[in-house]
Order: sequence, then C-alpha cells, then structure tokens
Amino acid sequence: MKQILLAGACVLMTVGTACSQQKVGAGSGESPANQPPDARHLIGIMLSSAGVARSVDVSCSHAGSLDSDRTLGDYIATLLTEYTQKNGQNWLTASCKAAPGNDTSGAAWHCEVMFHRENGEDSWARGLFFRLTRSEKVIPNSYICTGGN
Amino acid sequence: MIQSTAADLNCYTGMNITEICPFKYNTGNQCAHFVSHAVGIAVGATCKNASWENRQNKAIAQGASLRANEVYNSCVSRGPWGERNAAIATCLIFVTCDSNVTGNMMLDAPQKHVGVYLNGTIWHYSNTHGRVQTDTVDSWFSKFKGIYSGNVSLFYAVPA
Repeated sequence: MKQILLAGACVLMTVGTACSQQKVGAGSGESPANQPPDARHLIGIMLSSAGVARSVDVSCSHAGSLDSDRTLGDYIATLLTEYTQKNGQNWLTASCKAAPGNDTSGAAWHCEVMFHRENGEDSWARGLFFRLTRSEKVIPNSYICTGGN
Repeated sequence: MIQSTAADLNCYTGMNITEICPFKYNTGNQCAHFVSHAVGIAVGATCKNASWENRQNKAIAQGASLRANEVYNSCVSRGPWGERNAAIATCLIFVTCDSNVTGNMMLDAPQKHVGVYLNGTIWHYSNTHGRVQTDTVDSWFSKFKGIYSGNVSLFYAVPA
C-alpha cells in the first residue's frame, strides 16, 4: 500500500492491488503478464469511459448531481466537485483483483476506482467498477457505480 | 407505509451495517442502506446489484437501497419537513442542501443523510461511529448543518 499526498489538489491517493505494490504515475499500456493494471492505467480507463451513458447499469442510472447528467463522466464530475472543498480529507483508491473462477465473461481483472471523502459525518465512498480483459480492454457493459450515500 | 415500531428500531441501535446486511456490504456511506434494510426498500442501486460478487449470490434474491436520493424519489408522499402532514408519526427524514432538491426530486450530490423518524426520535447510521444511533430532530439537523455547505434543509418521505 502506498500513499501519496498531492498537496495542490488536496487529494490523498492510496494505491494498492491484491497482487502487487504499484506506483502512481507508472507508464500506460498493457501491464506485464499476470500483473494487474496500475493506478495510472485504471484512472485513465475511468476517464476514457466518461462518454458511457448512465443507463449502462441500474446502479448508475441516477448517479450525478444535475438534472442534465447523462453519462459516467457527469457522475465522475459530481464526485470530483466534492473535492473542491478544502476541509476534511479526500483520497482516491484504484485497485484490481484477479477475476474469480465463476466469471466466465472473459474478464481477467475486476477493477475499481473509488473516491473517498471524510469530513465528520459527511463520510462516503463512491466509485466505478469495471472488468478488464487480459489485454486490459473494458468488458462492454461491465460498469457498476459502487458505494452508497 | 413504515410498519416499524420503536422497539423494532431499537433492535438496530448500536449495530454495524455488517450485522444488518446479509451481504455485509459496507462500501461508502451507509445511511440509506441502513434505512432501506430497516423499512424494506429496494430501488435503484442496492447492496445486491452494486457488487459483482453479490449479483452472483443466488441465495439472496433482493438487496436494500444504497442511496438517499433514490429512496426519496421512490416515495409518493415527500417534501420539505415543514410541509408534512402533522398526522404522520413515522416517516423517513432527510437532511441535504436545498440545491440538491429540484422539483421535489432529490439529486445524487454526496451531501445528504437519511434516518427513520418516529415520534420525535431519529434512528440513523452514524458513519463516523460505524453504528446505528438515535438523535432528536434538532441535534441531528445541527450536526449536518454544520458540515454541509450552502443552505441545508430537512425533508420527509413516506414509503409506499
């Protein structure tokens, strides 16, 4: 587990995987065989999913803070907007674990990028789960908007 | 209609969400999750469908809602706290920013909290303490007004 404090953005980034330690800012592209994608790559995949419609999954269909929100990008923008508050503590986690044996979709990895915030009782964690193939392509429609509040 | 009595709700007091949820789902804020298990609400994102592993669990068919806005919007009777019918002794109580409710629909901004109100007492999930606890309306409102930004108000809702 590695923690990096990005002072300017006031974001505490925690990066960990079930299988190995990863560094923030590691290079993009496919990971070595049998190694899960690193945090840099997972966050890139999340951002590249911004155009996906919220209707991709029931857990995402009402995620977002504006009437006009329609995409996973809108949902991510809602979460990042909370990070503009300078009080409390904000951090990200990005991790993968090997797909379990009962996942027959062709997925190699189950991955999740989570946004965390703690400010007294204003404490929550929301994020985006997706499944990746061995070549680190998102399994279509595998998105789940995780967490509650 | 909420059927729970004070005795029913008191059974939850002091419990962690993993003692309440059969999936032991404990990701993020658990306020709506607790309320939904306590009164039986399963709309939108639930502890079953918000997890790939829980979706594979065939032994438990249904979960409980995870998000306060989806719970609020599913209730036919809902609105500002001051506009509720005085005859309503039991309902859900929400605290959030005014800007998070437009056209009596609650949006998914993170700054929101929900509890079960019964005759002046609120049972809710304290995410700081990781357990169900009780509050009066005034103390509950003061607690969240102090940490949420913007104009903060109370809302009520009665599940079908």
